Amino acid sequence: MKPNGSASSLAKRARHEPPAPDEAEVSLFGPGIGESAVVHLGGGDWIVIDSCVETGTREPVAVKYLANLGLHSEHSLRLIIVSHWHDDHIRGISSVLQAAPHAVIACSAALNSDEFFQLTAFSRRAMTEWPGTAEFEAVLAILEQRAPAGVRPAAIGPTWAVANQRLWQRSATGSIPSAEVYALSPSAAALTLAINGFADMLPVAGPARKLVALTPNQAAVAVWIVFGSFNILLGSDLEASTNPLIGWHAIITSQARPTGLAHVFKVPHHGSDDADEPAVWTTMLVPNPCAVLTPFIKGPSPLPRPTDISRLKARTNELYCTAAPKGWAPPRRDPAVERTLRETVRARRAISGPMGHVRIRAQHSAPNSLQVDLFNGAHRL
Amino acid sequence: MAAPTAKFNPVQDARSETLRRPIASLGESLADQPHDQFEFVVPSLSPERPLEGTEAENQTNGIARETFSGIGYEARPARRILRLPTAPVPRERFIVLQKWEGTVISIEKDEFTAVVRDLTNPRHPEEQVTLLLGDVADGDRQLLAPGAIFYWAMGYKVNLFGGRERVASLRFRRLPALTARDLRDIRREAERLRELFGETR
Ligand SMILES: [Zn+2]
Repeated sequence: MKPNGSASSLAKRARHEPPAPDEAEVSLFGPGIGESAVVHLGGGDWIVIDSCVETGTREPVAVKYLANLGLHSEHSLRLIIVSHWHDDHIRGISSVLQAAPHAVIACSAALNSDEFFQLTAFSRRAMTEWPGTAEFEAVLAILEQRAPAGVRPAAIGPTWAVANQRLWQRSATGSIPSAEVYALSPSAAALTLAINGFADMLPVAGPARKLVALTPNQAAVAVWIVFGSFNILLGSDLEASTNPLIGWHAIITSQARPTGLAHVFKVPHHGSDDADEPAVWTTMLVPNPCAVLTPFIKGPSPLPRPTDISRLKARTNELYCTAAPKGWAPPRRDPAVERTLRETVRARRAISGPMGHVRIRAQHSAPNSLQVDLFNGAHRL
Repeated sequence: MAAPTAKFNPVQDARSETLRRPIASLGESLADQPHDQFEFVVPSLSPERPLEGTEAENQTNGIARETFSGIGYEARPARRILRLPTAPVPRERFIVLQKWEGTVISIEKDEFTAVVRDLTNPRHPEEQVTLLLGDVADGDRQLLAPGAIFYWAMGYKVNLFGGRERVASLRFRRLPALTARDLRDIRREAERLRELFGETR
């Protein structure tokens, strides 16, 4: 398994070439803060897991990428998964849904709770622009509009995903193998805990606060994808808990999850150690799998940390990241502002930059020989 | 009297008409300014008052929810426009060159780390900054916690004689107390969403 080089002209030329109908693709995008995965399941069927937007235009990268391949989201997108509602995974997801009128949208079942509906209803009054809950509210508004007269919107979505639920499937036709998409989480125990967590976040009078999510999520949807004999595990931001009933532990011990080993692994929660479950590598992945991740350049210690990178590199030598976790030089401003900044700010850096992109393509008949292309600063670790 | 716009060239703010020019102070003679520069409001010393105007108005305005207490004006949605007299009492004014909305991420010994979004140029990427705790106003200290939201602005303070001083303003937000009616509305909307989309497990 050899990566196909970085920004070589060859890779650039191939960048906007769609995969063959019998070829699977996993494209992971991350501009520094934010993550979106776009997956081809053969036969022109695509799914999107989470959304992030281009710095500047705020366009969701998933829709733009499909358009660059010459595809219409309207005809190609079958399924949109909102793995959890944190800002770095949800921005632009309502625009993705808007562009895909025939796609099913699936969300963590934790969001199907009175508590989360209250947070959603509150988002219009939140004293900050663009909280994750507002994006979710926009999703519900689109579904409400889409529901035919006399039909309850719940009939068209969202699908409230729980562990071991099949979210989508297609049978084999000709040279194109069958494909299936499963949610591996959240577990029943995680749902209860998550809903209690939302209750604590309900609006009260007092200091204006925004949820700062620096930790992994117990109710995130990890996704298992089957394409013939090729399997993909997308770990979202699912946490590794010591509680055996939640997080990765619950998945490992589940008797109901799909069997098999994954060739491609989207490392959970930007490589952090609190989302790391060693048993995932030994029981759910092929030896030396192709592992990909996005950074999370926020907080005193951005992810992945150097220790995370060493830990992951000890498990596979095929490790790729969409961007370096060190940030970018901030934009230049008015000279008076620049001078005031120099006098008042101790440290400063831009936390989103070019839309890094790791693209993995595989023939279902040869799941161990992958083609990896790296764009816009994505690199091998 | 020449309009103060000639003196500097503020950063273009795609969302905000108002900020393409300096925000004029209450102290200026406004008679010779174009009609659309009358967009400011009754000065208020209570920065915690809830917003008025519709969400759409607030967004078009681009400067909604912003206060600079102690500076002598409060930028607010343009619903309550006060036509000022032609010869008002002179006052100090503040020219905004740059503003951000920030969220506190973590607090260290004598500094705090925050992520700031550029409100002057929304096309700019988010930035992470480390600021000194000492720059936080005494009255705002108890609001400083992870997740706390603040407004941060830089510009010039112009005194009565036209003298300029570069200044930065850091103000933490307080949520206005939700009224019983607000809470009732939120619960009613949540109930509506549950009826439309909820699935009993
Ligand atoms: Zn994340």
